[in-house]
Amino acid sequence: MRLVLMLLALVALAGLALAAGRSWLGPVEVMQALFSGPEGVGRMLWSLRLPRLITGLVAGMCLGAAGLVFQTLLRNPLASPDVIGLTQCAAFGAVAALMAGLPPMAGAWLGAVSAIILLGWLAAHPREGLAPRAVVLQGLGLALLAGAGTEALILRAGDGNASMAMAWLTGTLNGAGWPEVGRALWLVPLLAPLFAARRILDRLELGDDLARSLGLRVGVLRAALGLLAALVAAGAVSLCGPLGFVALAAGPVSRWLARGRPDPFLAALVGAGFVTLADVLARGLAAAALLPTGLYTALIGAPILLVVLRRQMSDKSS
Amino acid sequence: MLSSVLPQRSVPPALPLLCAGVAVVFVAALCLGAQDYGPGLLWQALVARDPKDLAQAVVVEMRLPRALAALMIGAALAVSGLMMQALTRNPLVDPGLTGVNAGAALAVVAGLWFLGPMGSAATAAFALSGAAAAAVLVRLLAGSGGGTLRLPLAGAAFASLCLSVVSFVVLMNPEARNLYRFWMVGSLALADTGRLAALAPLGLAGICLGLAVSRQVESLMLGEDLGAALGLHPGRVLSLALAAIAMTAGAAVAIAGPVGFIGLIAPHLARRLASGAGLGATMLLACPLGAGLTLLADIAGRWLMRPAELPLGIVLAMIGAPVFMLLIRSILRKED
Repeated sequence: MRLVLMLLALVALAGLALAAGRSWLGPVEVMQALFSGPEGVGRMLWSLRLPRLITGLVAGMCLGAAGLVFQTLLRNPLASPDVIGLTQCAAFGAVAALMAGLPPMAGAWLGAVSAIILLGWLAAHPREGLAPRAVVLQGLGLALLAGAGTEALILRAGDGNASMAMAWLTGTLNGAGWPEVGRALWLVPLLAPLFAARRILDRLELGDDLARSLGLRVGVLRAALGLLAALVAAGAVSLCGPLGFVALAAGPVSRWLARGRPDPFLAALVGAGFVTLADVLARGLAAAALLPTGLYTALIGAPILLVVLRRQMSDKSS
Repeated sequence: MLSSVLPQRSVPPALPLLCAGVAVVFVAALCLGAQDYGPGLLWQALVARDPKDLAQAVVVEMRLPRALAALMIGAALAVSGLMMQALTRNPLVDPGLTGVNAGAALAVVAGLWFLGPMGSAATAAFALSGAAAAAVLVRLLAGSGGGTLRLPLAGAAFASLCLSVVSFVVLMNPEARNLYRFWMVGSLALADTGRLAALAPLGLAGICLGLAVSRQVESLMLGEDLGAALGLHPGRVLSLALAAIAMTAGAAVAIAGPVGFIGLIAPHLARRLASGAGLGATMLLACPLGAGLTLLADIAGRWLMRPAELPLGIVLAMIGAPVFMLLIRSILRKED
């Protein structure tokens, strides 16, 4: 039921995204343009708004699902890829690859995987293994480091273009066209196993010992799911930059919708809706300025982070 | 004023050495840049100023105020960071990580948004009030309990919220975009004589206030009862300490934007050098350390990619973030 409602909301948001922009279209005009194909009245829709919408949807799904998976694996509602520095490292890798003339997605993957290895080494505890709060804090430092590195790379390239730098530091859908959609579709097969992992995540949450007694190979599963989620999140970053707070907010919101259970598919839908909403705001509110979408995701997502933090504090003090 | 607060014996022996080091770095900052000049030119500019000489003009009118600003904000942020660490009993906080700098930056761009371009005094007033509000917030958060590791997280959330609004305002406003693009990430590019003259008094007053209340803060942190028994007014000491934090951080942000990590690294190094001495002595050491480090980072930023320039905030993040991560590692290992 909630899934159906969420899907309906997403469709409505997608319609709004097609209608919004420098020139607003009515619902009838949107339908006409959609069905007339890329040649007729719908040229603007087909060449600009539709690829942008699809890229945003896929990126949002990737970030949302990856966020929930990391939060569940690390047992901390703060441990999403954008807080622990994964998306920032992916952005750094993507920019570096772009400058070296390599495909940005490969660079983003390399960046994210190195980030995981680095965090694992930094946060490893001699006796306790990987302490989640250590991962979160080390990630905080890593995020700042990678952000500074990305900015330095952009400045070094001699392109003082402020909007390009902002795009790669905050995330934007401004450059999304059909080639990006093509690359985005490569990520869908990677998403499918994450969606299928709902019951595994459910059991992992019971604690390692109980999960083991239910016949799960905890270590292998955790590593595989973490790697998959990192690849998916990094892929999204290579498409539109490190859209902040999407992964972070999608997890808690989807849990709230699913009565506290982890459901990656629902988280993906929430993430997709979140990105689409932010992009509608980016194009609808200040169409002339065309600010990066990531600014709006941050403006919506940061208050959610504060709520999560508050709740976490009151949980622990009680 | 200092001698009345600090008895002679508490002046740490490393202080003169550090000051000499800062002086050397200062001369280097004047000589190095897009174009390197020898120290001879500095001497000439000092004794026989030739207003038509371009090289002398570069050194005196551009590099000198910039280097002085670096000294001031470095020392100010070091004092700010050390005071915050003392008040929260947490070695992992500094004005950058807790969002005090971001709060000040937010107040500055809010003023820009509502009032349009502002003079240095108005900028300082906004930065000061933003920093003060954020410092009170941090103190409240820290007072509500929780371990060493929660405050930086809450601060990071607060800082990222503020900084998104800052980039929003700066990018929305075409005039502000060119001027504040680098200020936004922390840069000395805007530091000129006018700004320095208007803001240095605020920063220096904050540093002096910090040094003056350091002993009272130290006693207070031993326990409020003990502090009261020693004749302190806890509320008054606390508000003076918060004022020192806000003045130092506010002045630094008004000149150079939200520069991070100096308030973390300089106090950490100072504590190692001071080896168990009091807060006042540590603070005295942290000032030249912060000033020297900021100056070095600025030289590196100007020199590494010349004629282009790497903003101060980015250089410091590249040095400071690894230090932060290693600090966390050692704290986590020590805790159990």
